[in-house]
Amino acid sequence: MNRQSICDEAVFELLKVELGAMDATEVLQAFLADTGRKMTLLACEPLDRTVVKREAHSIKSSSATFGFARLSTHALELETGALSMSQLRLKNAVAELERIFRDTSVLARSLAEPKDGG
Amino acid sequence: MRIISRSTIESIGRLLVIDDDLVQRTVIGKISARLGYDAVIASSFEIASGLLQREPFDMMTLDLSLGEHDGVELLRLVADCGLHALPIVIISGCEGRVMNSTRRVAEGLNLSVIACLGKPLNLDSLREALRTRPDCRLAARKSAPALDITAQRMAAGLARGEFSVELQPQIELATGRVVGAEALARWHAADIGVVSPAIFIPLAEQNGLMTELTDRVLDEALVQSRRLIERHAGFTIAVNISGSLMADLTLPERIEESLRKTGVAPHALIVEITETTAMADVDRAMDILVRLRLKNIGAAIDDFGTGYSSLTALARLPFSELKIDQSFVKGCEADDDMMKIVDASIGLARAFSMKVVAEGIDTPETRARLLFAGCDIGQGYLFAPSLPIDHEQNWLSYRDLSGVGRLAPADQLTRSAG
Repeated sequence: MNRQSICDEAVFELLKVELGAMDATEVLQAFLADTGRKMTLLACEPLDRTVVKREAHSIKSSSATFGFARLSTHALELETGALSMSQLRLKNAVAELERIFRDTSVLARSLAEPKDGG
Repeated sequence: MRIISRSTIESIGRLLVIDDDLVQRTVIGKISARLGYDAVIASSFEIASGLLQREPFDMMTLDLSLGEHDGVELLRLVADCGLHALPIVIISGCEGRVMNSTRRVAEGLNLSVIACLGKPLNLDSLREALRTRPDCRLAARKSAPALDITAQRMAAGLARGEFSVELQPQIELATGRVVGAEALARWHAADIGVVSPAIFIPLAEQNGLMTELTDRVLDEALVQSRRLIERHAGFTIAVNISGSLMADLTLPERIEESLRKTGVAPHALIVEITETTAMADVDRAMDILVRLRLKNIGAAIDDFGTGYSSLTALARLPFSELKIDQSFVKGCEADDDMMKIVDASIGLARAFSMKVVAEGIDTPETRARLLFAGCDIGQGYLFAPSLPIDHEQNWLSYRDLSGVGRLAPADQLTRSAG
């Protein structure tokens, strides 16, 4: 999965302008920790469809704040289908969301690091 | 609860941020702190409700999804706390229709929603909403003191001639010409001052004073508008008929007698009846409306769409005009749901060969959208509020001026009075 498909970096750069680099990084770190907790909750067996829908709704919005497009798009699909998907499809979709979040986290940590010369 | 202190020297107020999402509430808190707010962050319904009941705030942002609770419950709580002047920014990742309906719920609770923002948050829109000065908005809503007005006081007011009629112009949207007016009852009590129709109409309904009030309004409206009707072909005067009068089968004869007394042609009069009134006793309403129409008097279905029987009333009763209620008209150009209702209402009126009047046109944008939709006539503050009789000359001047086809703004109407 390439970097661009995971993240629109311009969105995070804009957030840094709006909040200041330090605050933007603080919010990003809070996002990673909070979404990690949501992932654990969401993937709890047996899957609770209401919880999946609620947490996917939340991840959809918060990930878009940083430009994490792939995570946001998949969370939207999960939110939309949470109550109607077959159990197997739901399980696969949750696993896919976890995988995308792992990829996103790696990239996000690099975004949070200070740039050379900066 | 967490507080994000302002990063400016001066505070512009206290902002309550209610959001169960850590990222969103932190972003909102930090943006608002940069603008000069001291942001108090509530991450749950329970924390927010406690804060609202204990502490004062100058503004509030509210996420509609709050875990086990939802934002509508919180809006109800805000209303229960009497915080009607508290400016509210609603934020939601839900679809647009849900957001629009939530705004209507808040308006129904008489709350001050200043913006509705979708997620992901557009930070420019958020900043713009937060920048609106709270003190300006707080001044916008002040409730009138409660008045103790009795039926006896109203009856005395009728006997003393304290009631009068004002006319609100109706404008042909395509040309900007004044083509009619709606007569509105006004009460200026000698000892109390101006009493709102929202108070005296129900009082009259409940105490058997409606016949006298309607007769007074009808006679005075006809007298006032006679010269306009005589001088300008097609000018009509609309008078509201109360539900309590629709049980009286002699109503057509009484109206005819008023027309005869004042020398106004029947076709210049339009009686306005709400759909709820008409459908309360549809057989009687049919009897009365058919005889009014046979006498060449027009009949308008008023507040169309607000009752439960709009379509039945439209299909069964011989109305000549359809008045779209202002609750659908105000801001319809920016509300897809409302615009669908307006478009459908105009389509229905066309199918029944009725004229369409839109009430509550307050902006040029609304006027333009209604004109595009095919609406014939409009009334509202964009054109003019209701005007007393001594402005009749203004009406004539205005009508002459507006004959060129361009709509003059309401203040021009007032100035043309000299």
